Amino acid sequence: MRVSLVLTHQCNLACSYCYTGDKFNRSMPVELGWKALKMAFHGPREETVGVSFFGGEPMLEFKTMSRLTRLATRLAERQGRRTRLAERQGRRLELSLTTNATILTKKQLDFLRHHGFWVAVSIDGMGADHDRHRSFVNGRSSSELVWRNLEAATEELERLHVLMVLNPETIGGVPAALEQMYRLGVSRVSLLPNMEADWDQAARETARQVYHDMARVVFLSMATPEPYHVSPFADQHACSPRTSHCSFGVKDVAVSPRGKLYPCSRLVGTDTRVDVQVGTVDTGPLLDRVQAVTVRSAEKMSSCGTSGPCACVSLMPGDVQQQLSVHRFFAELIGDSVEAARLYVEELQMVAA
Amino acid sequence: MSEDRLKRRRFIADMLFAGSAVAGAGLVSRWAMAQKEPPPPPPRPSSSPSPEPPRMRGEVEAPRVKGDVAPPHPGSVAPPVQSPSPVVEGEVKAR
Repeated sequence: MRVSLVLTHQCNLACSYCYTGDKFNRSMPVELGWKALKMAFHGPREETVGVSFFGGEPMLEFKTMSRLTRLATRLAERQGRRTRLAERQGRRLELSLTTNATILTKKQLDFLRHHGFWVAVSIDGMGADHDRHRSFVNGRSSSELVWRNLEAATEELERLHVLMVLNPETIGGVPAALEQMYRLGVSRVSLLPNMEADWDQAARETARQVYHDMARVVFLSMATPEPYHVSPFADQHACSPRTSHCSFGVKDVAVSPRGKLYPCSRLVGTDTRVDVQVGTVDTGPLLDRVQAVTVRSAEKMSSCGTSGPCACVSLMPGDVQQQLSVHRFFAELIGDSVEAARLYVEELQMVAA
Repeated sequence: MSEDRLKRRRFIADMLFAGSAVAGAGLVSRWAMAQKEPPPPPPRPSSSPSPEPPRMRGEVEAPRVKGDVAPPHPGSVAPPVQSPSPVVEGEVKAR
């Protein structure tokens, strides 16, 4: 099982598009996290256990995170899952963290490297593009600090991933940001369009240009010894490893600071939506609840003629129809840009041969 | 990440993000050729009197074309042609 532990509702940034709702001071007690870990380790021993830390900003609760990490490692050792962990940080216990990169000291980076964490850092662009939607709660700019910490992270961490939320008014700056990240040593980036934003005609044109250019960059990079795994383009390349799909509540569960279970961390919000809760750390995921939520999601998606995005999208707050329409636009754009990039690189390779 | 690797990434980035077909072709042909060619000779000592000029940012290496070879020295003798030994079924060809 893979559990996503929402360590706190608190955050030091005030991202305009944040889907986790109002921020307030409630954090996960270690005892509750421990119950969640035992739930995660309850399955067959050959099964990979995933533990990810999420928020709010989980690094605000670094003490809890480090304790739970040590506990998870000991559980893995006790169950004999340590074998492969010792070889190469293992596949039996996968630890990950999603952070806004405002709190990353050398000591913390050492800790994350020592435990073989996959660290996902949220950065939306360079300078003003990043600050436009991701300033501190007091309005202060965060980009300078975040880019400085990203540079430090590239030096310390092998397993680093950047998450870029794309917005209509900042998407034009994406190529420059991707280039700078590549030069710093970042090899993995995910482009995540803000589905709730108003993608008007002009923004869609810019998006089209950016996606075509970046798909080409990614496919070209695959022909070099330094490939650039930018999702969604790299996912379509034959050289990219296949990623496992979310099992939405069955083997993937998010745990709120109060111990409620949700089928996805995106649905935790302020921890008040009973209609999408699927159990507690005491009961584990209740299959009838999981099934009910899955059916509801599928019905909502089929009503607009799509079954493409993650199941959680249709259950998010906001205008679902608009979100699914934006999703459709980007799905088509990905297909077009990847196909064009594939042909482009094939032709170059034919000429080179 | 080592400094050498970062330098290599910067070099690749110059071509990747240049956006032109010429840069793309240069990049593809460079690594395609690198895969075909035998390993390079050991590096010259740093005191080499004629180091290669540094490549400037944005400067693109011309794509190498198959058959584009240096002319033979005058008076040089071509080596005898050897027929390739037959490949036995199941034999693994060393790269």
